[in-house]
Amino acid sequence: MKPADGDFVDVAVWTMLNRRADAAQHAEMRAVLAAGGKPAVLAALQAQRADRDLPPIDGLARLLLVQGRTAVPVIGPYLARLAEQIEANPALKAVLKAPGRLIGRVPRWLGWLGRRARRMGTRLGARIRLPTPRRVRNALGVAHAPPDARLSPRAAALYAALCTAIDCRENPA
Amino acid sequence: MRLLIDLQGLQNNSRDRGIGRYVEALARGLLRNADGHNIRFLLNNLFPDQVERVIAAFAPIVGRDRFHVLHAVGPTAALHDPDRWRHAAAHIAYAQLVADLDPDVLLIGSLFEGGADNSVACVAPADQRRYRVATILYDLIPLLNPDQHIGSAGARRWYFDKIGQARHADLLMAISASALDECITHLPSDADHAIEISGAAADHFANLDLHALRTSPDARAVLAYHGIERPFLMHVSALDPRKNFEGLIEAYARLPLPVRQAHQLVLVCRLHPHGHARLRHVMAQHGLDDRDVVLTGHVPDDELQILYANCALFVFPSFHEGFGLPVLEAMWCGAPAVGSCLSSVPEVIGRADALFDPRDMAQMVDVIARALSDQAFRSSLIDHAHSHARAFSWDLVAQRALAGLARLASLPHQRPISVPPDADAITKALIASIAAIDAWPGPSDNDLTALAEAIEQNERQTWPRVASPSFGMDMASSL
Repeated sequence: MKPADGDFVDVAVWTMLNRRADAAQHAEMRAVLAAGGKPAVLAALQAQRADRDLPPIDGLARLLLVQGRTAVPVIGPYLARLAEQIEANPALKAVLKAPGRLIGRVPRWLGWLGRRARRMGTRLGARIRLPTPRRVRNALGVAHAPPDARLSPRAAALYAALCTAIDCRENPA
Repeated sequence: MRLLIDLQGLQNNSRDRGIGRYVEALARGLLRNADGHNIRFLLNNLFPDQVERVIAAFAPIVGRDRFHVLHAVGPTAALHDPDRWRHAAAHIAYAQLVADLDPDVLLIGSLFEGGADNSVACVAPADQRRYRVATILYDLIPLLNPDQHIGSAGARRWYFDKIGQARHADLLMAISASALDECITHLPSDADHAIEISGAAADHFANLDLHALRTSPDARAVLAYHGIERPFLMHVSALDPRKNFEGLIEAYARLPLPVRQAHQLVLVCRLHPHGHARLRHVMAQHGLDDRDVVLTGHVPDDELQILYANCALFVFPSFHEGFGLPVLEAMWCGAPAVGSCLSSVPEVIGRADALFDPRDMAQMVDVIARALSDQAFRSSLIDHAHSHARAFSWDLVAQRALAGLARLASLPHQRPISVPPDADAITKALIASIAAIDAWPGPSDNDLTALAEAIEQNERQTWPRVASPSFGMDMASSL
């Protein structure tokens, strides 16, 4: 039995039954996995679901989606729960087609938007030649931070030299 | 010859791909065939967890003292604008560290890295350095098809900057004759600046117990684990359009019904949700389901060998390859192999009647169907696989590479490079270069603190040059 098998059982039980596998169920599912592979585990768990009469779900894609959602800090579990609720509601599911996939993309969209905004800000600053933060601080008389106490004398000297060189560049006059 | 090998290809995102395997195997081959040459390695501390892993992987054959570690300030992704200053500063630190170590030749294992990660490798113009630079050239696929493989304008700028650096290299070592042709045609280079060194499968493929791989309980368990119930044809690759997964699925669907029903198609590739959905869509278009086509996702090496050894046919329908390592690995495992007639795949397969044009679906179906149903043809493919795979070895690759590198090291420099007179002047020049970086918003004080520490760490690394007429004494001094 490979270590990854246990991970697969954990994720599969959590995803399909929305709870953690206890020791007995873990052992049982590992035996099913060894005998019949991943499809057999998914089929066995599907049979234990309250909504087992619903059409079978696409095991791997769903696992990947839910894993991705739960990895999102803070809001991940709520997103996972929301996706589960919509999946279980035939009316909502009919409207949204693939709600799990849609909701799963929300944190990625937000992260993408944040990174994009930061990148665009940087590009814009460079394009219109905004003064750099260092130049603004120099203009306001804010000096560089003193060398960190943990720096060796050589590193502190290098730091001072770098600060001086950067200041000379930013304020050539 | 003092040879410094940049092993960042073993640390970054390429470490689990063909490039990582290639760099590691070549480095081991060069050590085995060093023959008096003094070889050291360069790693990057911006991949801290990978530094110790790489040193440990080489520990049985080479000591820790032969590894140098670049210290720089990250993140340094070239395609991420907020990292631009750190990116430029890291490259200056890299060039300074290499210059301080004073090798005769710097061999860069993977130049085209660092767009999205912390890899730091660059080739300065020849008149700005005292050492020679050689780099391994895997392929020029993005250069030949930029619209397909380069997404953004920033990525395009970064890639073409790397192409410019490759042109500055003194020697390009292509991994196949096909890659060499591309290099000569498109960079352009000539025989003095580009050589073919070929490639090979990892050394452990030579010692496989094929009988155990086919009959052991583990082998049966692996096949059951992936839902493989019938003889199967397989394909291994990254999930990339040029690998032609869709074409292979269509060819499989078009096989004569008895042949198709007797075989499954196993596709081994790292799956992401989007790619997985795309393959499932293609399967559905051709009326195939999970029992016909098995998508394994990423599999570890030991399982991959079992799949290779048990497949009825290995198919490699790629439109463009640098080398085509999976074909060679499959052949080492005794698998009959057929594949594309384009780019480097014919060199690896080495047999004209096992090739097909991946753009010609009928031809592809014919060759696959023949290999699955014509027993005489299949047997001859297996015999050919056993003999042809042995023509590729890492020792041969390393010997070709060393010959090219030694010749490079022996060439006189076109003009002398002025060197600052002492350590203080070198440091002043380094700081002036860093201060001259033009990147908005510039460094924070934290960046400068970390950079000062990094420069100090880099300064501590030395590789004393012993005045010696022979390579052998130089080697002995380092040991």
